[in-house]
Amino acid sequence: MKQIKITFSLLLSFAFLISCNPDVDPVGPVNPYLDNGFLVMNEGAFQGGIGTLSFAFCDNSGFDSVDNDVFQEINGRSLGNLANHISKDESYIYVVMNGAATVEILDRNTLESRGTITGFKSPRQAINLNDGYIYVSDWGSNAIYKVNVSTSSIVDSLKNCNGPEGMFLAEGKLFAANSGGYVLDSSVSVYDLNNWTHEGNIQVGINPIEIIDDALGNLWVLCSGYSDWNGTGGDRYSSLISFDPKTSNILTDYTNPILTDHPSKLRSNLAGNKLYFIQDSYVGNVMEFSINQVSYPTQPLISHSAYGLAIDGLNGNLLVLDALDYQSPGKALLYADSGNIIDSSSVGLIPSVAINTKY
Amino acid sequence: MPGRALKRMIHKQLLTFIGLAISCFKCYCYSLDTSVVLNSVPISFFLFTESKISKSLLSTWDELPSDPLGTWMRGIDTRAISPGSSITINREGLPSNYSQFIVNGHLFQSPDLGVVDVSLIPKYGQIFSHTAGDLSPVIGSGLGGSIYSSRPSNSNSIQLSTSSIGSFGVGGSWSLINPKPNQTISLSIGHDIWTHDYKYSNYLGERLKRIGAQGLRSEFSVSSRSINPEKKIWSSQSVYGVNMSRGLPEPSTAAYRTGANQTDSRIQLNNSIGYSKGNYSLETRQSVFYSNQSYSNPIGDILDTNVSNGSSLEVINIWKWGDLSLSNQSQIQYFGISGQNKPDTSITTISNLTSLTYRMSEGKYVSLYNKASYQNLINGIGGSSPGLQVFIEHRKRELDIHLKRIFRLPTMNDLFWSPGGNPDLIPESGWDLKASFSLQNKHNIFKLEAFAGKLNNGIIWRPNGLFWQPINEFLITRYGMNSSWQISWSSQLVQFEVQALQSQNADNLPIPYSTPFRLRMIYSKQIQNGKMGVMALYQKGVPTLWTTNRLSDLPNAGNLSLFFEKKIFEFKNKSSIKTKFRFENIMNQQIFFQKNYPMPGRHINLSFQINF
Repeated sequence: MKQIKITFSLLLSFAFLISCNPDVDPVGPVNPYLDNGFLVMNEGAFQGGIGTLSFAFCDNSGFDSVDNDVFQEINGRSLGNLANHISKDESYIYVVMNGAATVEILDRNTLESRGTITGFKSPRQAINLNDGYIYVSDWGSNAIYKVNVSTSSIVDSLKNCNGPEGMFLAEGKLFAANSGGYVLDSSVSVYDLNNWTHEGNIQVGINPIEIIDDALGNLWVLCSGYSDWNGTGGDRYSSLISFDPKTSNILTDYTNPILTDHPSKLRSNLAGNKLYFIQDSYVGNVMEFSINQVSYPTQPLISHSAYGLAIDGLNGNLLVLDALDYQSPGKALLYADSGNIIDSSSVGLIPSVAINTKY
Repeated sequence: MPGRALKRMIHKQLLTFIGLAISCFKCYCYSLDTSVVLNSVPISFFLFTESKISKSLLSTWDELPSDPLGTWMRGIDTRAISPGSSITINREGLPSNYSQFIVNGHLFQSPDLGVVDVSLIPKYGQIFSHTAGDLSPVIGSGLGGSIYSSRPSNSNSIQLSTSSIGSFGVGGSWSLINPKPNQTISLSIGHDIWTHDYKYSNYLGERLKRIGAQGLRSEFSVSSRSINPEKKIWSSQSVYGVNMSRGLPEPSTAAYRTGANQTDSRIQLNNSIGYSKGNYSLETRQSVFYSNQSYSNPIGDILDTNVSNGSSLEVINIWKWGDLSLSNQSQIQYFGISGQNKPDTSITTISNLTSLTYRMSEGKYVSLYNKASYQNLINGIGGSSPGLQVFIEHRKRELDIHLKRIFRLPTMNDLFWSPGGNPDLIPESGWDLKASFSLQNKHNIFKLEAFAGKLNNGIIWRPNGLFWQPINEFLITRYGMNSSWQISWSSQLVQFEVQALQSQNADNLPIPYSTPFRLRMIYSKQIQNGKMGVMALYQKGVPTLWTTNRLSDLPNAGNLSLFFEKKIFEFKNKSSIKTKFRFENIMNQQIFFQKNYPMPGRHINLSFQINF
């Protein structure tokens, strides 16, 4: 009996010690992709090339290391032709493959593929509203698709636009920038998600491509303008426009004085009082715009070739993606929000979009 | 399953290895007492057109225009996305705009992005040949590169062809000899239709059948040649046209769907007349062409059209005084293009080639020449390209040394294509040295050729993120060698060809679509009323981008094919039926001429030719 008591006491003590040990290792593997850094999406080569993902580990002092082609490494296959966009929610990362006409669902922690959504024609971007669905814009069908994430299947679609591109959720509504795709458009479509209906359009500038909100809750639309390849004088100015998502009223409308500029990649800082975008898709340069400004910015914050842009969710640093000659592995350059360079590193072929996986 | 897959893979690789080992063993065994040649390395212009070997080589070109796999098997750097798509050719480390075609004695005129779409050249009733670095006044706006030419065959035949990847073709050619004294009229027509729905594996490892690669093609060609020996006047007139519609399939990394479609309609008229008196001769050549191309992409709702036309006038004067001859060839060319998404544009080029040749003795000569070119650009630009060639032949040994300055003006589309045309381009220039030595005996023909050159401001098309755009590449340096060896004995023939080259820019990046190393072999055995044999090729991975990252290269490639040709019927020594059977890509290798655009695996081509 005494032995039983001693044994029981020892077991109890051991259990107590274990339960009180604050240094016990967590169960399960440590996932490097939870660490701070950027997941960079590289479009891949023209004509049949494959999109890739690079993970750039970095902090405030610069890049620690870069793992290129992590999707292939983890999943043993390629993403497919022409990556176009990457976004995330609490559980997943969504990579929109324009050429492969798929949306790849990745586990946010491990980057393992959790499904491949098919049925698109020429998908552009995906947005998640944490309602179990993602919404995918598609140039090929000029539609917004509603996709059930758990079943990886398209459940519905709405068509009311030309070339839907960037999307944003505000006031329970989905706003989609109609970039014109292969033609011209100048509207933002408003969709009621509860009834899955098209509410109406907001007239903005020529070929709107991206939408983002600011600290005041207003939405900003970047309109890229138009290049007339016919040489018949049909070029159109780009512009930056804001509107109230509750009323759809236009609040400000700033036109770019440079006709040949076609800006892209609209982002905002952590406070939501500054916007950043690329001055021109071909020339590059990063522009900064304070939401209280009263004219289109003309002086770049960063004078450097740029094809992609992202904001570090931890410290507000800017990640500039340079596609270089579109033939060689591109570069990721980390800048402080003051515009001073911190560090740079090589990534994949034609990097164009990046996200923080942690923030 | 992984075990089975691994076993299958090892089995496949083992078969590949055994196949190559056997073919190599066979070649080397025979090479001890016999020999080889490479049809893509011409021994010389004279040998190529006159020797027995060249005649047999000529016959291997008769499928060139619409068969990228066959073109590749002839040792050429080919670009194509499917068997029926456009084929363009790079050669010896030079971009594709240095490969030119001459059809019926006239330049195949095309302003299309500085390259020639080989698929638009008539093929029925045509005999193809190739000369490298030949002196020609009509090779674009510069000298050098490779010239491929075709001419009517003068034979009467009907050809039926089919293949296991889904194609059917019918065509024929007829020649009327002396409808008028000393006149020959040749006519040819043909029609091809194909599905090319062969199997391939996509990026997900799914085994699929190709879709969207279907097409159809019609062609015609009429030519008349006449000579009046008494008045020493000769003339030729020809017209040919091709109408084509073809699907451009999606890459194996894209969605499984029908891709874009391209239509082409093209017609070219040529006329030339010559006169000779004493030591003087004069010839004038005129040609005009019209081309209408459309590209539609239902996925992106893209429609683009290109309507181009052009004309050329050439005057050739030749004087001979004893061992000295002087020729002067003046040419004026006009190109115009219009269409959707582009403004109307035209350009005029004037060039003049003067050549002085001194014949030192039989089989020995030296040529000194200069070509001056001018283009009516925004401010007008021009330049010259002088050269020196020495040729010595002695007891079936040949030495050919050719040094020239390269000067090439931008093409019209280099400058004005929309989108992407770059009006800021400047002409490319440089120098090129080629030296070759060849020798021949009863059973062997051997040739070794070395070349080196530099190209400043080479005009290269590159993607810029939004579209393709030509730029002046600061410097392209190239050097390499071609070696060929033919061994023939009684009824058998073996040809070997080795090509090795380095062509790179100032950053030491290799030029896209030029293989650094290629080994090629043909074994042919005469059989009763025919021949049979095997062709093998190994090629090192070809870069597709200007990059240090070799992942974008096309993979190393090996290919093995069998051929069998036999006359199966003959009537009174006049008419006959001949069959050709080709078992292509026996080892079922994945072959790419552009990244992620798979060509067919193992397949069979079969044709019947009725000669009468």
